[in-house]
Amino acid sequence: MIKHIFRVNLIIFVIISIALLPGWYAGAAEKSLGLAFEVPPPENSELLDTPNLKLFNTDLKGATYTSQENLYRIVAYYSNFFSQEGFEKTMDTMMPGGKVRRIQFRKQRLVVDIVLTPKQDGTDVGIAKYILEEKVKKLEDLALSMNDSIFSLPKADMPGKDFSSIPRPPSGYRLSDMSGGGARYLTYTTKLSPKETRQFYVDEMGHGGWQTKSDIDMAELTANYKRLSGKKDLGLGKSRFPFEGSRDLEEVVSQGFVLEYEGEANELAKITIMPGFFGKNPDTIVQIAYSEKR
Amino acid sequence: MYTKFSLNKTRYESGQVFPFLIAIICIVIIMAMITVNLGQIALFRTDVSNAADAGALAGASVISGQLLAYGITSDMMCGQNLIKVAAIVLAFVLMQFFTALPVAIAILTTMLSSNVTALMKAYTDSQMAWTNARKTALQYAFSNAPVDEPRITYEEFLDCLVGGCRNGSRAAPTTDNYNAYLTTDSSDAGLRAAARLYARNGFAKFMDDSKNGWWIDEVFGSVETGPSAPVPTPLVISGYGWTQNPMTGEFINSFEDSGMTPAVCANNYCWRTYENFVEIQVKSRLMYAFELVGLPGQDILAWAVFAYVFITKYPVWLALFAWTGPLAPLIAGLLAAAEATLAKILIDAIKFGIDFSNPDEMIEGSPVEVIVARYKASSNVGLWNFRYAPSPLAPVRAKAQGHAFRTAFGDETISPTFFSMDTLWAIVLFFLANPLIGIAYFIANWDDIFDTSRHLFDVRLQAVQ
Repeated sequence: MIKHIFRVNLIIFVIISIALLPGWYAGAAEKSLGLAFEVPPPENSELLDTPNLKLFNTDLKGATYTSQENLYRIVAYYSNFFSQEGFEKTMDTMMPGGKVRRIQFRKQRLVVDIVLTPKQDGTDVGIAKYILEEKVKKLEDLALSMNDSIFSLPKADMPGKDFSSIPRPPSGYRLSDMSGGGARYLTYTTKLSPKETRQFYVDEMGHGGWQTKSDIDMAELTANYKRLSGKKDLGLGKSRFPFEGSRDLEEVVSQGFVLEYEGEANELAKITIMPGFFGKNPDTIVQIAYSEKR
Repeated sequence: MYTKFSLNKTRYESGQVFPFLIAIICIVIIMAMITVNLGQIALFRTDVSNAADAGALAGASVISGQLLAYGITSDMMCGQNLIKVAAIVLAFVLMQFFTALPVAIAILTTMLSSNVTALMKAYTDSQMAWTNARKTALQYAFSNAPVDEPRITYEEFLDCLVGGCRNGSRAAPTTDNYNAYLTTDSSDAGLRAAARLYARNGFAKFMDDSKNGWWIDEVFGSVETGPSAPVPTPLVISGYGWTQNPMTGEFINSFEDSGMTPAVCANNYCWRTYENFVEIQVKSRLMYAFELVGLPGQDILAWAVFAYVFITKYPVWLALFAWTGPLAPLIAGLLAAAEATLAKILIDAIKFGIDFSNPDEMIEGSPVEVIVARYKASSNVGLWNFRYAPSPLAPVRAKAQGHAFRTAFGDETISPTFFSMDTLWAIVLFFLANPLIGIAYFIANWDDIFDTSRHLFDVRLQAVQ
């Protein structure tokens, strides 16, 4: 009996060990070729800054220099250095505008991006190091993340003014206020679910004297489309929003509601409600388009 | 004497010729009778064939009109959605993407709900159009069918009007009847209804009833719609039969005198039991199968938007990340590309119109087929009681297929023509070169951009197998 238990435990141990082995190996590789890997400064240069930021949920460790050498010499210097270190050159391209050059080297998971901007008396050099999974070819192939440095989702109402005759959804804030094409568009977030938000507007607009023109459940509409056309989806493409944890476009669109109302004073209101898509537990998004009948 | 003999002989020879002449005249008369009969048959066949052609063409015309309507719907959808494309681009240009994106997706959702609603309507319209096509085909075929049921005489009309004349119970013509008709108030609705009832023969009344006459809603209008593929092709069989009662001289017909409800009559082909009948079969598609479609050059449009958003937003991100010094171009490039990708994903997802799921099957393979059959048990046309058709089950028959083709110009379509490559170039020039150049190009190519003639489908008869 004890022998049997021992044998089972041994098998489990072996299986777990085999499963963990690639991770351990990768971790070891990261240790040896991680962000601590030293990239030498360009020749005849002066360190400007060491900016660090997070993009695409990846830590970018930066160093910026100004060098008296010309761009070609610096390119040659780094090409030689990374070649000797066993790196592969994975990119050499001109950035938009045609002045700035970007070269990229990669060894295993470590990627080094070098940005070179020529100037009259030398070159400005920016170096960014980051770790990418082996299967990821480029940083920009990754999804944007709520952890990124660029994200600053509003914590309060963005500039603009609410409609006087249409209530704003509860427990949320105004994302935008924009006008165009004879209509004004206000976008809000709300903690209510899309269904609750729809019910909120059905009740509130009814009390406000608005007449319902249409009340479209996109899930139902999508199901009807699939039934009639024999299609499997709305054909919105396979693209998933490039946000970490986000749903795809088809999912977002087909879980929404569209309410249309007609007001007493020749007004039209279209309320589009959709599930949020920033992050894993995002707020519902409501857009209200208001226009006057021409 | 010789002379007299000769004259007598001559007279005798003259007498010999006479029987030949009689025989020749008889043969000529018989030939004339045969010719008349054959002519009647030929006429009969021609009439039946014309009726089938008229029905098929009329049905196809309805479809052609509907195809034009679909094309216009697609164009309108395309025009409206292009404005929304501009709104999406504007949102990305004016806002940071995490505020632009909800706005853009809301626009896309609204657009999609309108599109899918338009598609649903197209399905309903297509079902109605095909029903109308069948109805129109049936109506035109009946109207052109050789129905030689005699019209009621004026005298009979007046007698029937006052005395009532159904089922051979016509009252004898009386002066009272005339007087009653002439002196009755013409605004009398009852009289008007009676006049309408008795002024026409059975076939006219049959043709006047589009719910229980030539078309029976209960039988022909209740075809269930299911998923689009495979689309069923319902067969509508309608008919009218009539017989003259040899005793009374009255005509009885399947519409009024079959003793069956219209639905039962239609399901049992009750008209086939009459001395004369005309039967029309119409076969067509039940509805079209559609799908929402993009545009031929949509990927170019999406890339133009990508380029425009990238070019516009790159300097914005560059300024925002100026603090990273020489790294700013890299970060700005990555973020502007991400933002432009988002805009491109949305533009790629936009549907600009409707089209058939399978155009070849939907247009080239979807005729309105009409079969007209005419049976006439006997008719004393010439020398003998002539039978036009061997049996009620094998009447004189003609088949025609009318078709709304797209082969006249070869590029007819119901998908948007509003958006052509010219429109695309106008947009690309507007965004990426100079708005004025874009507008000028748009105006210069106005005729090509609004080429709605591509929605005009040719209608013609198709050779029947």
